[in-house]
Amino acid sequence: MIFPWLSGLLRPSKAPITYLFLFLNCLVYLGTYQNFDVADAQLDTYLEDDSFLETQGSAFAVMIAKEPKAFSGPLRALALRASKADSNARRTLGGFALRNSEFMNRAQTYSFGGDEVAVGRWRMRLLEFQKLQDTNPSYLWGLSEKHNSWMHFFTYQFAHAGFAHLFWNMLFMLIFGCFVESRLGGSFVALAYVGGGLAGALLFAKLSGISYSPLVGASGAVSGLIGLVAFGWWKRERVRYLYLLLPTPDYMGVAFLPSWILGIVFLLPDLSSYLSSTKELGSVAYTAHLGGAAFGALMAFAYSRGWLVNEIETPAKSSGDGSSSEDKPDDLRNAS
Amino acid sequence: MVLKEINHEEAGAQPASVVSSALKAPALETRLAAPIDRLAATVADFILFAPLMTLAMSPFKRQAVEAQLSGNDEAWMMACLSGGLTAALVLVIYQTVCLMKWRATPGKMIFGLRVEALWPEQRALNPMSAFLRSIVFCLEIVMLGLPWLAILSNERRRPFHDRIADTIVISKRARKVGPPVLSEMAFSSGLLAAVLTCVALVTTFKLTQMGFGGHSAAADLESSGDLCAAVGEAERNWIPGTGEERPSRIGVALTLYHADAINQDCLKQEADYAMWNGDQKDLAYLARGLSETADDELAQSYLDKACETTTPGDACRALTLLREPELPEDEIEAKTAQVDHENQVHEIVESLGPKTAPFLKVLAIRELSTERNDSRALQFIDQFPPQKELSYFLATERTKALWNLDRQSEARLSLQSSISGFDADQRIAVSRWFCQNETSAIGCAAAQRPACDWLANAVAQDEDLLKNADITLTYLRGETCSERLGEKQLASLKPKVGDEAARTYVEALEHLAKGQKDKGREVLQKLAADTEKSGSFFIEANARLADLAGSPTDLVKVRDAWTKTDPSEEGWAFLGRHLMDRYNQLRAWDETLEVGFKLGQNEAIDRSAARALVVAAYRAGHSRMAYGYLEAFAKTTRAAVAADERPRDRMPANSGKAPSSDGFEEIARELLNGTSLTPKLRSREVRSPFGGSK
Repeated sequence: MIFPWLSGLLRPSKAPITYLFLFLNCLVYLGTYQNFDVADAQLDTYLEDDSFLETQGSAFAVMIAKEPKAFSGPLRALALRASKADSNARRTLGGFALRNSEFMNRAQTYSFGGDEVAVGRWRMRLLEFQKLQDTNPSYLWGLSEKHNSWMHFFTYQFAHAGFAHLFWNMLFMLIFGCFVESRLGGSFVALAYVGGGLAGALLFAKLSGISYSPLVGASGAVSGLIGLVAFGWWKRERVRYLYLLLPTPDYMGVAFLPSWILGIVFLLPDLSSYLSSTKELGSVAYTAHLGGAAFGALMAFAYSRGWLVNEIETPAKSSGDGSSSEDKPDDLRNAS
Repeated sequence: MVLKEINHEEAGAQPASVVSSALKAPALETRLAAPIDRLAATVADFILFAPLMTLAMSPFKRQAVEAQLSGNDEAWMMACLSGGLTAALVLVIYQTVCLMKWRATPGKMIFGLRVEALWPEQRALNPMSAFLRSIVFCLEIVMLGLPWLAILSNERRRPFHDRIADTIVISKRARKVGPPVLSEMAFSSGLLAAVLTCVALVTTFKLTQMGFGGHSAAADLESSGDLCAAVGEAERNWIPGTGEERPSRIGVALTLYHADAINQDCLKQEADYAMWNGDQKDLAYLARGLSETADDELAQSYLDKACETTTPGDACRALTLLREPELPEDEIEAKTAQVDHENQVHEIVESLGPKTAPFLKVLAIRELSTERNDSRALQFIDQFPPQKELSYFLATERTKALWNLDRQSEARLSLQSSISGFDADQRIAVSRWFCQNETSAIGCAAAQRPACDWLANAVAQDEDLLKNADITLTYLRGETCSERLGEKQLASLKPKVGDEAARTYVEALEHLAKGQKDKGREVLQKLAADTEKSGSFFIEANARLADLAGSPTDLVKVRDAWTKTDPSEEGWAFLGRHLMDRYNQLRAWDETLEVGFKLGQNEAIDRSAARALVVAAYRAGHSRMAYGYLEAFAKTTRAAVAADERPRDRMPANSGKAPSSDGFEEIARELLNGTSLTPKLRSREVRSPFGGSK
């Protein structure tokens, strides 16, 4: 395992903009988590209901069979299986249907035929489900087919689908944000965060398409910061990582390694996952990560060309090696 | 290459020039890479290499996901194989290039390890050695990395990939090690043995699961996504009857379901399929409603829908046959509603013809069988051409109908001709039913008891069947009739019988076999006194006690027990007829008539009892009553009697005009005064114990 530690977690006074973003994210989470938990638990009851999902899958299969050109190959193949009374395929297709705007928008009026009793019951439940979605903060703050105004391209960056989602995004935001803010200034953090989030949403909309299922989370924005560090420090200085190869003292610790390793550890898996998943099936917005990272890389390029100006005099200029003596204890220097 | 490690002893046997060059080793031996460093280097390589490998595999991963979604196993296998080969190729390139350029992978570089050629003249690794080493390294991964354990056991810590490429891994750092010590070798051997044992256990378990796994039919259907195989086979092999249209798949499913040839899960799956793909949606709704067990309201919605789509369709008619009428609280209205419903059912059954859908015919057979309208049921049964999946249902229904119509020989023939096609459970069930009827209705005197012999054979092959009380009861009846149960047989049978009441009954039989009548009677009386504990042996014990009775007064207790028993209970009619028969034998005519009348009230008079009634009434001096019973007997059994009666199965010796042992034929002839019975008696009003035949 290798984990970027960079300059670690600085005090708020040393990285106020980074902490401002942390505060905003936490504020949104605290304001919405109760609603989110309740709505999420209620939504889960529908998603755990086999008859709901199976009927939805059968209905979706009918729509795909009637309009095959509007759907991808994997969905057509799955629909074919679902139409042959394969209950697993129906449930899977039923799950995918929830993300498909075409289906969700026409579900109440479309002539599916088939089991009219089950379809009648399912339609009633789907209405309830959609009402629940309207009260769910993920849907209110997130970027989705229903909520896709310009405002949602920004608000989605501050909403999270659960504590774990928030925790990991904020941890990486603090690590990368503190590093960038201490070396380039708070405006770089703000630009990388907001610009990365926006670029992530745009690339997501372009490559994956805005779906009925909302896009939420700061990961696109954080990817902007990661891209900035990975490409901005490529030739400047080695950065600090924590590593754990074996659980013995000699094989864990701190190492100073090139920043491009961040690209291998964080961005390459996103690219792989994007290439290996189909549009309808993935639940993680890899394209949003890649969009954010691309924005960060552009910022790094702009900075290297002098189009963006460093706000603060970096310790690298004063010390000559690109890393502050405060961040890099003597005993660790040799570890690189 | 040096596959076998060069030992100092062996080296001593080599020519001096070769040995001197080969033993660059002494210099290397003292700075061998520590195993833990090599492990850490591999982990570091993995961290760096895994994302690259994942990227290379991503198109194949996508193909595999798509193949999995479309259920294409072949494409999935190809995608996985291609992905695995690509990953191997990338790994080989990564290793070969790194070894040729830096004599170490990045992970090894971090820990100061280098891969050296074993031979002194080779400073750098040649491309072939590097390539060969990388290839073998990949193969070792496939073998769960077990060959790497040689690092702990080989003298120069060289696993197979080092030996085949003539390389050795050394350390340029302070942490160097020498040859493995004994504890390392022991650890290596132990770990190898443990891993191989685990692999063997897991493989065995998986193979066992594949070979003997208890997959239920429903689970198989779900996993394969196919429809019910039995329905598919029946649909393909279906032979339509004369003038009958080929039924739809859902029609076949409904037919099989009503014939107990498929279960509800199967029907539900077929209904779902038909609903979304078929054109006979009313049948699909009917099937869906019948297969819904968890939600009554939902089931009702489907059944209602079945009648909405077409009027009056087959589904609607089937529903009338299947549904119990909703009766109002008011008694008179309830009775009217009940009669209306019965009329509706009757109308539907009467309206069915040869072109009717087969599932409706099956329902009609069931209905007619319940009504004991066996001749009409037989007409429907005969309309079915041979269908493999329906063979059990049709054969058992035909046999029962024939039996009830007093055509025992044909019933036996029907059963004998079809039983070979039944599975073991069906064979046991049908032979039990048949043996029970043979022994209870015909009695032990009848010579033809093949069903009892089948049951006896089945029990001989599988003694666990004796744990079932009903099978034990029928088996004991059959064996008692065949006089195959001697003292010894009963003694050996007793511990094998699972039911407590059955054991007690066997004990009673044992006493009787020994000639200890009083002891036998005592044990039987215990069984006959407790309905709950004795179960089905309560009836049997009372029947035995009736057999042992020497006078009508000895039968009082048995008669009381019978009177207190609910007529709907299984065996009630059997005991009643047995009791009546015994009274008849003891010439207690009035008691015979009383028991017979109660049997008649509950529609439990069979041919033998009817004859006994006629004889008893006549002997008791109630000629008019005897006449009336004779008339009802003629109608109920739907057979001619007296002078023009055709030979009966029951009386092979008494066929034609020969006198019978109970004098029935003579009495009948006398009552009829030699004339044909049916036209003459149709206008007479006689209180009949046969029910519905006044």
